[in-house]
Amino acid sequence: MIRQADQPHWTSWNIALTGINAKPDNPGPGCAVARCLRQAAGFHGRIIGLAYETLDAGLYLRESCDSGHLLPYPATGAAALLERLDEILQHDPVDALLPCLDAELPNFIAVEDELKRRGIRLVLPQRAQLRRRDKDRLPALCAAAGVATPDVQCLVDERFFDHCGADGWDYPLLVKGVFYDAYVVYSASEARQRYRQIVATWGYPVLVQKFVHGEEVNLTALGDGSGAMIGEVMMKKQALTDKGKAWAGVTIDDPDLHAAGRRLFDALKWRGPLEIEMLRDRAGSLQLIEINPRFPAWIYLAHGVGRNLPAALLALMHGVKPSQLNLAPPRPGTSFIRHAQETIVALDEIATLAMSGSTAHPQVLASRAA
Amino acid sequence: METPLPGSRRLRALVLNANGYTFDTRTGRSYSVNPSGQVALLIMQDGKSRTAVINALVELCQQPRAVVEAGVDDFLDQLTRCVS
Repeated sequence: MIRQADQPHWTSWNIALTGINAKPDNPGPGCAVARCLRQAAGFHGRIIGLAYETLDAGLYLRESCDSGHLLPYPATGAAALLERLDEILQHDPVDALLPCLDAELPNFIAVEDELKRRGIRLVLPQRAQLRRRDKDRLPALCAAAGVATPDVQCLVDERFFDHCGADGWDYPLLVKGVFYDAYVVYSASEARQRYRQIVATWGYPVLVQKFVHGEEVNLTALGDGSGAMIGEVMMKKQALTDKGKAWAGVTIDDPDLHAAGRRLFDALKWRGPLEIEMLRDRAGSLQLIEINPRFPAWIYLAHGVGRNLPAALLALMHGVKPSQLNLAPPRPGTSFIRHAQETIVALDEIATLAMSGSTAHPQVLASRAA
Repeated sequence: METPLPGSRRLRALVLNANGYTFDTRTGRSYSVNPSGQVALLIMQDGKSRTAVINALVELCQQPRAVVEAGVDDFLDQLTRCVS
């Protein structure tokens, strides 16, 4: 184990992160995490973007990433990921890595020890912890944690939607992919269409969840594996994209959400960042909808209220104790409003990335800037 | 029967701005409260009773007690629904 005094301070590390896709209706969290790090006090390290598509915006946003590299899709497996990371490490050293997407976590968990042997710091959940918060296992987790959640079941046959009412599954229902996408459906024909769409995009199984009318509230925090919830930030969504993602939100201080978060962190003994999505139903009760094993795309709001959780996670990696983190008290009433803008990309930049899998080397970029 | 006041924890979660903008730190909802409502809310946040609110508003607004009582009960009814 590296002693804290023997290693450079985390503010000078080379930090790799994923999830730098930035589609306005459903952005990945990576660019927001990068922004938090850039604005962390004293940060002068490098940020390395790891992407899956040549058009992932973070690859070209110098305010987000100093350099960028393409990774193989998660479906290609852990060995392909490790091989590609080894190629990248030959010319772009990495001190810490922050995975920011759900689907890639099993691969990063599989290569965690190998990456640590290469000197890369990671804080990841264990595979069993990750599975416990899978969408189809939420009822069991919630029963253990004493948190309410709507019924959910896995489907492999779309004929379910023709007779579900007789089994107590009345419309509207929520049809979801295992990793991403969720649609509210109001009829059997609409449900079948969304079911096929999810199968075509994400494969089987498809999940169906009872729909809860209510206001969505979210909590994000860090776990250190002890069951503690560190640096929680709570947010109520105020405006949504067509995909139900927050386009605007405001920080809140909800004792019920806080208590539910504590119970879930304790039940999971989570390591790393986590987002808890809950709905307050018409009776005023909170129901757990999803647990995301990563920072949310709205994580910049945490920096906005003095709780820069990406910076706090790196400080924990550096050996700082949770009680020593410099986190402000909760500050309800602070809003964020997301906006989209264009970045201009020269043909050379896309060509370099498409042909080599990497943006131009840092020294080349620096000489271009000069 | 006297209209009950919302719970003190729910009332304390309301942050009242000088111009009547009121933010519920628990739910994230916000409201616009008129000057009489602002007075009533501040008195209730001090832990005072419905009668104390009515007495203060009767004196402040120079209105018949029955009119103030009806207004306060209507406000309490709305408030209870909003913070529940």
